[in-house]
Amino acid sequence: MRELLWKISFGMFLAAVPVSVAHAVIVLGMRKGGSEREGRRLVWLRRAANAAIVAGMAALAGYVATRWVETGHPPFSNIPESLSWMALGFCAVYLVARAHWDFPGMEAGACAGALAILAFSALFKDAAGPLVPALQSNWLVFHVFTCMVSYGAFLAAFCMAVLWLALWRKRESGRLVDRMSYHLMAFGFLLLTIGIISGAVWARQAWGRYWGWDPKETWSLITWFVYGSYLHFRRIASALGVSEERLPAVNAVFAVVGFAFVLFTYLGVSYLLPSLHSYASG
Amino acid sequence: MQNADAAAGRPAKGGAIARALRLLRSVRFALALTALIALACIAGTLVPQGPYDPNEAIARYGRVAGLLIGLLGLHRLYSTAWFLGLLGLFALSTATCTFSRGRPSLRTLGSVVVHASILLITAGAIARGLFGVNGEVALAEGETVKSFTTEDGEVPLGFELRLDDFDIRYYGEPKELLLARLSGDEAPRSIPVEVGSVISLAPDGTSIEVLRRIGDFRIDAEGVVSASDKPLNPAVEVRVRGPEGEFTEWLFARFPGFRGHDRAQRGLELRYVRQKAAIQAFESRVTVLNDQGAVTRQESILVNRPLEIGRYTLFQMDYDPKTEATSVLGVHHDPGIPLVYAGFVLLPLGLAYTFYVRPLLDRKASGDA
Repeated sequence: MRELLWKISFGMFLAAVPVSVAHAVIVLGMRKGGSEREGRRLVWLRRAANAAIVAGMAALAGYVATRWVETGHPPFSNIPESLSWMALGFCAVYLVARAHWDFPGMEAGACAGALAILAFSALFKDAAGPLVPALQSNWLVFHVFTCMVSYGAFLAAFCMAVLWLALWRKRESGRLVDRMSYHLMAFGFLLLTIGIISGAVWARQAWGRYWGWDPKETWSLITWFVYGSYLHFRRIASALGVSEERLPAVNAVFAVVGFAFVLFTYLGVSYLLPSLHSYASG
Repeated sequence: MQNADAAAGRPAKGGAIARALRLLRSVRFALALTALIALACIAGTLVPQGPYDPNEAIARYGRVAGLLIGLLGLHRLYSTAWFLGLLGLFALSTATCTFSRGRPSLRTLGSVVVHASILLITAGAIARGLFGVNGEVALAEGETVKSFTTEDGEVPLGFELRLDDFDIRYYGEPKELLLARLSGDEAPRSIPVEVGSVISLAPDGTSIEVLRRIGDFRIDAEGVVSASDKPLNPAVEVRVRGPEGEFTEWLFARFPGFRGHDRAQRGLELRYVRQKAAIQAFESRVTVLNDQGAVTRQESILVNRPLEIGRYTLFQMDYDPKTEATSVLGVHHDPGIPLVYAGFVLLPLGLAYTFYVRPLLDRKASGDA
């Protein structure tokens, strides 16, 4: 049952790719004020893509719930489990963004991002082992959930940056793209802040100190600095001579660089640096 | 955030103090500081933190980088004066930005709260550094202590602490196997250890019987006994029967090379393997006694369940895996915790206000206008 739900989720995101790509291609190729027939076809294509994304999300949520029941503990203890939460967070962030903004290719970015997370999680040995003593805490759910959803928001900002570079640069309103990127990164920053704080409170309970310059803690702080710098830079951009038209480019740079830091904090530290968080590498 | 001159870091007017204040108020300066701190942190995670051995560092990183690590103290980065100075400058910059904006308004409230909470966390960290105490105490079962060890020496606890019992709980029973290989066999045969069971190994009548299992093998005047109820020296006694007769012997999980009989000559190799299940919990059951030796508290300390007592917090930190009867407890005193936790509460509230409440106020204000 558990495996079936995961496969359904993967299949749904996979099915959404050609539909959403077709939607994006037609929209980008359509002349302004296209025919009524083209308009109807677009609505159905977009609805089909979003329905597949929502179905993929539902199946993934079912997979996580089944796993929770089967293992008897919250599924937050290793990389594949946390990646499932990241995919769910990413899709949820996309749906909220989709309700506010309408750019061609958003659906394609969302299903490609979710698909990439699930495909990546399949590379890991998915052994649901028992929780080590340090992970037996109520903070586990809160800390990992907030961190993973924040990573999902940063991935969404990364996808939007790629879409801006590939599709929107010359045809969409720079101001609107700037607003969307800002909101995605600000939301991720807020959740990352809560994630770091909850981790600090938990660390004091488990290890006796709220901060110990452990590589995972330190890289989380570095990532926080990167996105914090973005939020400050954006405020003084005009004073530094960065015009409003160039803001989307600045957003794209921060979204891509910031996500590289997220990836290293999440995966690089777990595998390359000795850390108290080494139980998260598997 | 602040005026355009300061924000863009343009040349400042006035005396040295005014110039310094303008620099500290500059967001560009704060961003440069942030980048420097981030770079230092990256170096701190790449260079192992601990004692510095120049030869090892040069062999590992090359001559220039190896010597630079020692010169800059990257092997103990987080306590070097220059790194702490950077953090201090960052706090100063944050404080100047926060408190030089004139009267706070609803528009700037979120930003002020965010920066003030960072200052609270910094103040708490400074309090920990100046007045905090970090130490540990190793306690054998039944032992009582009145002090604990820190880098500066022994520090009195202010009470007596006795370890009544230290317990390690596992997820399930250990997996116990006998690995038997007859001459000519490619791979050993796995036999579950069950006292009383007789397993046939070959058609010639060779068999093995498990007679006894002991958790902590000792020999005293009464013969073989278990010295404790812990599996510190697990052993099984087996009887082997074959065409050449029979013999009994002890097999030890921790000493697989120990041989009571020359089994190779008999064409049989035997090993006793004991694989523990994953650890579920460490539990130190302690008794707290006052100056008169009267019991005041009896508590359990587990990972994620520390014990607050007096000014100290006691944590389950480590144990002695050889005896499984000695627990190491961390003993901490951190007077900065109220400040740090106040910052922890305020920081996300300030961010949420800045990102989601202030735009609503702005929209309302522009709508009214």
